[in-house]
Amino acid sequence: MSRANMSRIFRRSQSKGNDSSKSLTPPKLENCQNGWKEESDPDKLDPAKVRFDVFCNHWCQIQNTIFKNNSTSGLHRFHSSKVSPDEVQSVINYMRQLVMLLIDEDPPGDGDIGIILKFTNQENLFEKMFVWGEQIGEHAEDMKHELLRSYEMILAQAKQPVLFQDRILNPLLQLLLACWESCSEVLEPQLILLLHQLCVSLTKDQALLEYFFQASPSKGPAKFLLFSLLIPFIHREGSLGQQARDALLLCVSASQEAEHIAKYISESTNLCPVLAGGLGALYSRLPRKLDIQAEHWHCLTDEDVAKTPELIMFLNSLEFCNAVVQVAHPVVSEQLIRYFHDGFLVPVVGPALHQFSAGAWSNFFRKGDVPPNDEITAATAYVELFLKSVTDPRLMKVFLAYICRGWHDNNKIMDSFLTRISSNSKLCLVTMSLMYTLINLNCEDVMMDLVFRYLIPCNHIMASQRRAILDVNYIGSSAHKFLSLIPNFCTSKLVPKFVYSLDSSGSSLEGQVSPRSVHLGERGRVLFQSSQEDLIGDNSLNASRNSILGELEEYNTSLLEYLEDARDGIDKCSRGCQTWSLPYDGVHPPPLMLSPDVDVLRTPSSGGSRLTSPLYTPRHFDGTPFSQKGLRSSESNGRSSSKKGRKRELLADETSSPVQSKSSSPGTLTSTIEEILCLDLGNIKNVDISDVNLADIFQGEKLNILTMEEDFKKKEKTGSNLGFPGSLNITHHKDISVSSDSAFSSTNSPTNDTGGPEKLQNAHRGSSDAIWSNHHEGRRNGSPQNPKHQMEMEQTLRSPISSQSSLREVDEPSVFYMYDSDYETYQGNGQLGTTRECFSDEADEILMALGYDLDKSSPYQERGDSQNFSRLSFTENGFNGDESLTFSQQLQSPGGDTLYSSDSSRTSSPDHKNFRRSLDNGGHDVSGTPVPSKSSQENRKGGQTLLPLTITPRAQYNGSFNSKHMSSAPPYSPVGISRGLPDTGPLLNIIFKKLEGMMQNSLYMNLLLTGIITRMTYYPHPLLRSFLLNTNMVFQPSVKALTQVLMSVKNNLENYAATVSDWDSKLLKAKQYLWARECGQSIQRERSVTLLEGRDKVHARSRSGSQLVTPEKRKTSIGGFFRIGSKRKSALKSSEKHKLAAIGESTSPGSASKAGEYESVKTKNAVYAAVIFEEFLKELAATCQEHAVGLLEDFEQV
Amino acid sequence: MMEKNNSGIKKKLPSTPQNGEEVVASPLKAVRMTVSSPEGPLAAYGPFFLEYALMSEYNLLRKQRLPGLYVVPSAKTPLHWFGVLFIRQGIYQEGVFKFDLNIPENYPDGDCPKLTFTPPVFHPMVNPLTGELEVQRTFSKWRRSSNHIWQVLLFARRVFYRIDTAEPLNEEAATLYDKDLDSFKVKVHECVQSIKEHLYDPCDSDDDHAIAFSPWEETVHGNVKLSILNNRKEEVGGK
Repeated sequence: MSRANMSRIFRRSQSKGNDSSKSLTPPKLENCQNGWKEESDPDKLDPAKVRFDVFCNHWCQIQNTIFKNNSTSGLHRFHSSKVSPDEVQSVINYMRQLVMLLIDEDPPGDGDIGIILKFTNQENLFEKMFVWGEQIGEHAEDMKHELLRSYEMILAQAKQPVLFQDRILNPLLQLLLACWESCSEVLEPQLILLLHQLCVSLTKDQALLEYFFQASPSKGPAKFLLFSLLIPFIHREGSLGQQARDALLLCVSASQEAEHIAKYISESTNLCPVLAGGLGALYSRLPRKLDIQAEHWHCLTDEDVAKTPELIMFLNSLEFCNAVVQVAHPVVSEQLIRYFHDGFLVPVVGPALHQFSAGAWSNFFRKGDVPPNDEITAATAYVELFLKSVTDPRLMKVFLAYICRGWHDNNKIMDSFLTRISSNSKLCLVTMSLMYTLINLNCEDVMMDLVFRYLIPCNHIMASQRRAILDVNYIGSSAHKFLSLIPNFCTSKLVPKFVYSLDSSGSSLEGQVSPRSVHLGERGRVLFQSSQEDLIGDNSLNASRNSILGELEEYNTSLLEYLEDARDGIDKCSRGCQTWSLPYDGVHPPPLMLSPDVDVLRTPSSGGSRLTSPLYTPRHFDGTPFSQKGLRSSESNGRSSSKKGRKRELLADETSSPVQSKSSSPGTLTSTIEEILCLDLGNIKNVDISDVNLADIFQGEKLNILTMEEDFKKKEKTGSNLGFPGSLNITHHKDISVSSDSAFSSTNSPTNDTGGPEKLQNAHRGSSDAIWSNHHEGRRNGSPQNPKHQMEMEQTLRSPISSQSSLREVDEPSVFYMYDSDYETYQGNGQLGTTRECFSDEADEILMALGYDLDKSSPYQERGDSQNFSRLSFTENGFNGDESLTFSQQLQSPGGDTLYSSDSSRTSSPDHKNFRRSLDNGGHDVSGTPVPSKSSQENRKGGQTLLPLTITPRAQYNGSFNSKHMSSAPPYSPVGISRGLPDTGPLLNIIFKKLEGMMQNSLYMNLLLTGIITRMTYYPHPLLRSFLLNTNMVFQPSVKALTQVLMSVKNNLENYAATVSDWDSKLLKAKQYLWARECGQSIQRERSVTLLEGRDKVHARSRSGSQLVTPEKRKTSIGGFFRIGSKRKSALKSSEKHKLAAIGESTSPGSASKAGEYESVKTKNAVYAAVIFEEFLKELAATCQEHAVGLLEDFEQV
Repeated sequence: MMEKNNSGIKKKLPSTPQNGEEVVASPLKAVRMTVSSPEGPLAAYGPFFLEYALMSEYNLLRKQRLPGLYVVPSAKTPLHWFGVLFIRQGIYQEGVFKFDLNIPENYPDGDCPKLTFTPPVFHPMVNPLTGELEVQRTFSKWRRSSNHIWQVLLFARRVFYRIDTAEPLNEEAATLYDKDLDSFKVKVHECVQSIKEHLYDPCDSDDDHAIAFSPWEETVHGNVKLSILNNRKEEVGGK
């Protein structure tokens, strides 16, 4: 219907509407009777007329009933108090008839409406019904119900544009309004049904939506009733909730085209807060601890989800959020994402991941120990599940950004995860599973944060090797190396299997190859079957060993399957990474360009948009003068806010109250819908929360959140009022780190700082936008962007400082070291107070990022010697082990300036030492510059308590200053370069460390560990690939190569195996167990149990099993092990126990002593480790080879 | 395991023929010869390495996009490659030379592959009886880390542009070239013509992948020609 028509109707109804107030005129009985009389004419019996007449008749009957007692003409009101149930029922029945007739009426086809509809309008039928319904007292509900139902039917089935009739629409609105004010439970389903139908109708017709949108009732809190009515239902379970969500989703998607509706949704409704808050509330209902029986459990599977209704509900809501983000107008989506972050991720997920139960804490005395907390385990598993459930790129982005870069209580969340991996518990398994999920996402930003930013500077290799990064090992020497690391007791070494399973398909290879074996060479000399006795015939083994060996051979996995796996994996990964912006080959991005906080966030999946990454601010606890007083005064003194990170703190602390930190109180989940609704978002004023009743939303259930103590709640509120706006403001802005700007570039005029961190942020945002904007358009193909990007970078680099441009071309290791931006930023400015360029100076930022001195030429040209820098390692200093601490102190300290004067380059190290000493003393700095003010000193001291030790444990791992500290602390010099020994980042460090201890790890731990490593090897990017797979690379002494680690594992295994008496038989049993597990899909549980009861039968069974070339065989690769295993968490419980028992019995000498048990556990672990190790090596070799061959992909795209 | 067809359609003009000795950059001086000879512990994996090495070689070759050169491995063994060389300029212009490339079984540790023209081509470096091209001198010692099969093929191609008569296998050709260039050209022309005449002879190899020529058929080849002329990127597959 066109707008003209609509307005015509509107006007028409308006003219008529004057008299359609609540007081109704007495019915025009004459009309009815006339109509009735006409009926008697025999020749006017056409069906339409008949229907019309019946309609009129019914209506008369109704009116008779309604106005029964209305004999006096002056009375305009119904006399409702004496309405009997029968009367109501009769009215209802008649109504039904009327509705049916109305529905069935066909429009006459000339744009006009049918006579019944006209009549309805004339008579103002619905309004009368509604008004009457309101007034009949105790039957009002029934009437309402009937009206709701009628409307629903009309909307669904009417053939005419019913809703455009004002006289039908208005009563509908009034009805809805009435329901808004009070809606009983009985009415709810019908209401939701109606609303759903309404939404369906609305979305079909944009004009109608507009019309509806404008036809708002004059009273009532919400302009757009629809939302207000639906929102309370979105978190319900069951079909009610589902319908409400669907309806809302329709509305939201309709808003995509209509900007004003989108604005309305974002500004005047509380859809987003409720959604996000609801997530928090639903989360709080999830079981705190998961009852995990199986040893191999490490993530939540579909079965687990199905068993937990709360989880289903949560996932429904999460899915809904996802859907809303996807279909809504960007304004709404962004708002929702922001709420998701601030209302769910930060207050709920963050604390959940760090909650320590009271008891656990006390047991842990040493720093860095991770209390094996069931709750955290559950939380981590949930987070992983959520991660897997989110599909919308924007939502995923904010989620990932939070996980990778978010802070909680001054800990980086990722740091917590990485710390937990080092433990040895269920928590470790779950966390590793989460890491696997993250790595498996093919997300450039995630990989950048986790891995690439430590590899990009290429410190881990000798400078001469940097060209070797691009090498692909065509001759198979890497593969050979890996295979050669197979321990001697494994038969794979001697008897490789190259057998395809019968059902393998999709490989381009099998066209030539018979299913069972690979033929190679004309004479078939290298034909492989499942065993080759002639190769091992020469070994001097006794007969029994031979037989065991022979059996062991049966269990050899086919290398070809690993090859296929590798090919698949690499293929998928390559495809997933097609939209990455950089090839990470050591040349792009150039090592010089490293800035650990480069905001190159983008995900590959949707050719995506750039993440407007929220600033994840470390929340400083109260009690740190630094956080509150220091920065503020520093600002007023014009003290510099040093690095971006400092800037973060600055802003965070300025806006967040200390109480904010309470949000992470242990043991409770803190977000409530009310809290969220109290958020004062920038453009949302006075969000009316009165219409959202928590009790309604959750049907009055008792939630954790509702049972919080009063004072805590209050604190939350106050805290949130201060904190959230601040955080939200911050989060609006791109991560200032785009160019890892130095703090100095932050402001021009120090004194203006206090007034407007926002402004700065905004400015910065603008600049960072500009910088990276070109990056993000259509990055389907990485290559066109690269030159553009490079060009852009170069332009910005060149513009202000032409003299510096030459430095870029210097490709010397020494040049690395001149990029030491924290020092950079101190130069020339005398006191700390002087802040430098306006934050918005993008060129400056980039330059800062690159470590170029804006004020003077780089002092680092002289200091080509890396030694100077290594002496800067703070590990030996006298501080309380908190390296980041010292660094920030340095930043604050006025003495920092002296570090950069170019003439003092030679004396840099003594300066540093002096400096440190001076800091120790809290005295003045080396150069003798008097400390500007006492407050600075205070700040410095205060700063000592600045960052709670968070990451010191990691320092243990590589024994050197962990550059990771740097990235967590504000400064972010090239990671690891000048801070001690080269390093490949915490993730890789931890993984390798665990790998080294493979023999002590449990089976499942090893499976996950090797799974993670293998997944990382699938990345085709040269930096990572060469680091992991290039066995010819020479690394820096402090960096361990994968082959080194594997070699040590091999030695350990071989040494240990020599001490165990019947190693081979144990090995055999382990393999049998694992095989049986894998093939367990085809074996019933009962059968597998019986398998073990007769141990001697096992051999027979498994031998036949191994000859069976079934599809299951494909899953014998390691990935398959744990993929399958996790799915069958419950199915194999008892059988596993049996098997484990079987193996355990065979290994222990029979004594029940603790030592014996320990031994058996140790042996068991070692045996399994050996099995996994062997397979892992094959996997690596296969991956090497597939990478070599895989370059087919590269040039086919050209 | 090898690819069945060679996407020769997309060949571009190369840069000037490079020095065959220039190799893929491999800065590693100390290449550890860890791949063992057949007696080593991983001997049994030999075929695996061999196959993959050959695959990589083939891929490398494809990456080189040597013009006028089409190669496909045999259906029976990856150690035998069929190829055809089209010479488009110079004395051997219009030459269509089919060849066989035989890779030794102990590749990459053995000798360099053998390239045999079928039928033999009149060229100083080609043995007139067997059709074998003299590659041994150029690749005197096959270094696995720096030598690749594409280099051999590049050499084979170059041989027809830059004729080297030192130590010839075909004395007659060599002397003719040195002394009487015109008659050399005549002989070459004869050879080229005779090869062309026999081009459509049925192939005597029973290998599925052997290269055979058939006369132009519009229905079959017309589309290909169209796409080449229009320089479209789509794959014209499955003929």
